Amino acid sequence: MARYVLKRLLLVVPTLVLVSLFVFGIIRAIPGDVVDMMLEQFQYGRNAAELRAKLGLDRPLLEQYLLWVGGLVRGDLGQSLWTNRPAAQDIVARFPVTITLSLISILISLLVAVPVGILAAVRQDTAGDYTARSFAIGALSIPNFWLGTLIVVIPSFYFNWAPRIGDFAPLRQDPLGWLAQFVLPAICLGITQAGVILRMTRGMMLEVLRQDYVRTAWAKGLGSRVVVLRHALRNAMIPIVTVIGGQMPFYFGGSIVMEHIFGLPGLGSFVLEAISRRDYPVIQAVNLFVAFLVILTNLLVDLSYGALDPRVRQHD
Amino acid sequence: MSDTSTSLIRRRDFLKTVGAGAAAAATVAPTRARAQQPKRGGVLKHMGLEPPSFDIHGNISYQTQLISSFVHRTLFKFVNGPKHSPSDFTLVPDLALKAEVSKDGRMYTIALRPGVRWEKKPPVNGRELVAADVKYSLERARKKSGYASLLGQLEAVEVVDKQTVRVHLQDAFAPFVHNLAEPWNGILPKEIEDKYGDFKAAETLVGCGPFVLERYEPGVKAVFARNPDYFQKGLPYLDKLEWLFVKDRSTQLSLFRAGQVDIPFYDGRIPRADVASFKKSNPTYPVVHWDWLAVRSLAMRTDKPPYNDVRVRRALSLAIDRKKWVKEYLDGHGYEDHGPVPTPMREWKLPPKELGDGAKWLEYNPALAKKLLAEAGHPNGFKARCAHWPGYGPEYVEDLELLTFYLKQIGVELSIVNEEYGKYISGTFLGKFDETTWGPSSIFTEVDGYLYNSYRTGQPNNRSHVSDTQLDVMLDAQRRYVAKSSRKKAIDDIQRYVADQVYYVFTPYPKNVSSWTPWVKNYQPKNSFDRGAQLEVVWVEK
Repeated sequence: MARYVLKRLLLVVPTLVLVSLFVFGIIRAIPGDVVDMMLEQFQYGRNAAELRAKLGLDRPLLEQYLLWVGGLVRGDLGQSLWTNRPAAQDIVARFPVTITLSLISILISLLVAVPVGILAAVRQDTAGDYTARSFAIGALSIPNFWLGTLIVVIPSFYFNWAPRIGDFAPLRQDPLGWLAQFVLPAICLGITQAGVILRMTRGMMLEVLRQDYVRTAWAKGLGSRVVVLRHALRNAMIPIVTVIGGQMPFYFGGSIVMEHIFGLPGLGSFVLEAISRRDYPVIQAVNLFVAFLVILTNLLVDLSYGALDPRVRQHD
Repeated sequence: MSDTSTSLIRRRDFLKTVGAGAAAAATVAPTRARAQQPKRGGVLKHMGLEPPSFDIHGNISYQTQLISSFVHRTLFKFVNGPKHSPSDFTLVPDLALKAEVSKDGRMYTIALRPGVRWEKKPPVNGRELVAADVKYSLERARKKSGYASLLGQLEAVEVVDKQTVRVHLQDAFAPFVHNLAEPWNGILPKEIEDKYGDFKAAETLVGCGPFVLERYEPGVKAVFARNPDYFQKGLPYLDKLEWLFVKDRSTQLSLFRAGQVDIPFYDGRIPRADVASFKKSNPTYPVVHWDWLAVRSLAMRTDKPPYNDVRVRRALSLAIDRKKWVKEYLDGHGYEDHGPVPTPMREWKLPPKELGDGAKWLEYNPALAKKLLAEAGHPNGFKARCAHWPGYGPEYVEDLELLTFYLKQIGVELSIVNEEYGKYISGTFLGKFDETTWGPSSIFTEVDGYLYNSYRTGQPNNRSHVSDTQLDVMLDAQRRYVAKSSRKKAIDDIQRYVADQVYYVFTPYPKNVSSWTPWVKNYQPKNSFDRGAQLEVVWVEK
């Protein structure tokens, strides 16, 4: 197990190098030059060549990349071209919002999808199963930005009520208010993924429930709760956990839209602003940071297999 | 002083407002304010925008100007309140009491208001505002601001005494005093730059305005509190002002419908498409249509075929039924504007009947348009790409589709190329496009902004790539006429000339529709980014 973990950790480095190369290259390929924008639209200077030199953008691309990577190695994620603030400072300030939104979304997805998926499998081809399957398809089909907009717009139109937005409650001052402001965006983000997890849970449970050892458990006269939850679900969970791990990028990506609609000061709205301003160091830093998180999550998912399936530990 | 005798910018006119002294400086007492007793206290929640930085000289973003105007004041300001129209740019004293100009229009003597103090916050600690502060600010603007050219050719700023500044220009520059009232010309304390190195960060927002920055939460809001030492006694009425950074327009409107915010956008605007439903959901809220100063136009590469042929440009203009556009599409709430000076700028705008030869290109005449196209070698019309940023909003997209429809009637097929904001604002908006682009202009409070920026050879906002020596001479000349009557004549001539040349094809545009919560009193939308002057006279009555 230890060797496996070490091997996986070592793989993180080349993956991050590839991600860094991709991000560095792709944002420079977007039409629209940051110097033009700063100079002509926002008048951050008078001379393009001077400004380019000041920002270090006059150097060859390879040199720019190596300088950035050199900074990363020293723990320097770079500075915003617009505000001169270290990108790390903003990431630290905004990451808690995004991760909270993502975690609550995952929790909502699981709380909805797993029990309903199990019930749908256990009661296959009943009205309950059809309802669950219809819900899953519906949840998959509804774009979360549309759902988010509806949740904000409809009550305000009919009842002159809107969720608390634009008045972000800090955790220390108002813990309940802080948590409450994540609920609606998390529902929008979580409900779509609940459809995916629900279908996966139902499918895996159906498969496991047909296995010999489950039939044996029934034959031994064990109660349905024990058979389903202790014997069947545990084996069905491995692919489900894999799916959840694979969906982490979606949660981070979806948070961009949700933060925009619900006025949350997270990484999503921050990077969106950075993209529209071509703030290269900030885009690079945030993307690399998120990539690292996704890699880490996948590693944790892989490690959880051992906890779920003793055979994995024995094999190792 | 012999050289400062009888010629202010029509000196008498100017002194009526600017030279009237401190009594006039107390903000205009609007008619409703007389009928109702202003009420002190309360919090105003205002939708706003988060600025890229807080340095008014470090960038030209209106977002910076909006937020800094609560704290940084200018030498003069525009009249505000319901008594005045949103496009009334009459000057009244602010940090200065009066300005006198020499006969040759090259020297301005500005008398400061005594007893103005910076807020009681380090490093200024409530010291008095003096002439050296004005000198520092104007020189910094000249050196750093993207708007430096709007101060004319500033030669020197001289401190005459503690309360008097003298500004020397290389050449007369008519818009000079007007532009001193723009929020990008706020007076800044030098100690801040000495301490922080620049004015980019929020903690540098230290001034002598009606409000002081209490708290800035990046990505969330900025909270301002009443400045207890503000030189306008009794103002502002509000205890606090929250400037909220919600980006999504649907969310903004929803929060406004729900009464969670008092003013739904940075200028109170609500989308035209939502007006009917808004009146249903919030019947007690005021809804006003008001003058808008952002003209909309099709810019073309007039340096290249086919747009270098005036007949083609005239044909495009003739294809548009402006009367029908306003009457049917805008329900009468708009302007058939032929540009470049917006209709609400009434003191400068030349009506169509006075445009001379250029007036006929504003008529709707598709037959003549086709004839001109044929003469120019395009009997079957032509195809063109039109770059556009859809983020302006669905109403703009509809406008462009309507323009596309009209042009198709004469055989000109526009294919709309939607661009992402970064590409649009750093490229297309600055004239970097191949064929055509359509969109709104920036907003200016001085007529020069609509002329010089759009038509003068080499200007970054000269999107149609106009390079016309005769026009350049006219544009330069109008800047030098200090006497308003002479300048008016020069600007009339420019309007006639450009109407005939059709360097841009101007399309009609709507009036703005704005609303605010019924408990907000004495509020009036304003075509200016000086929110400080606008909101210091507002109160909340719940």
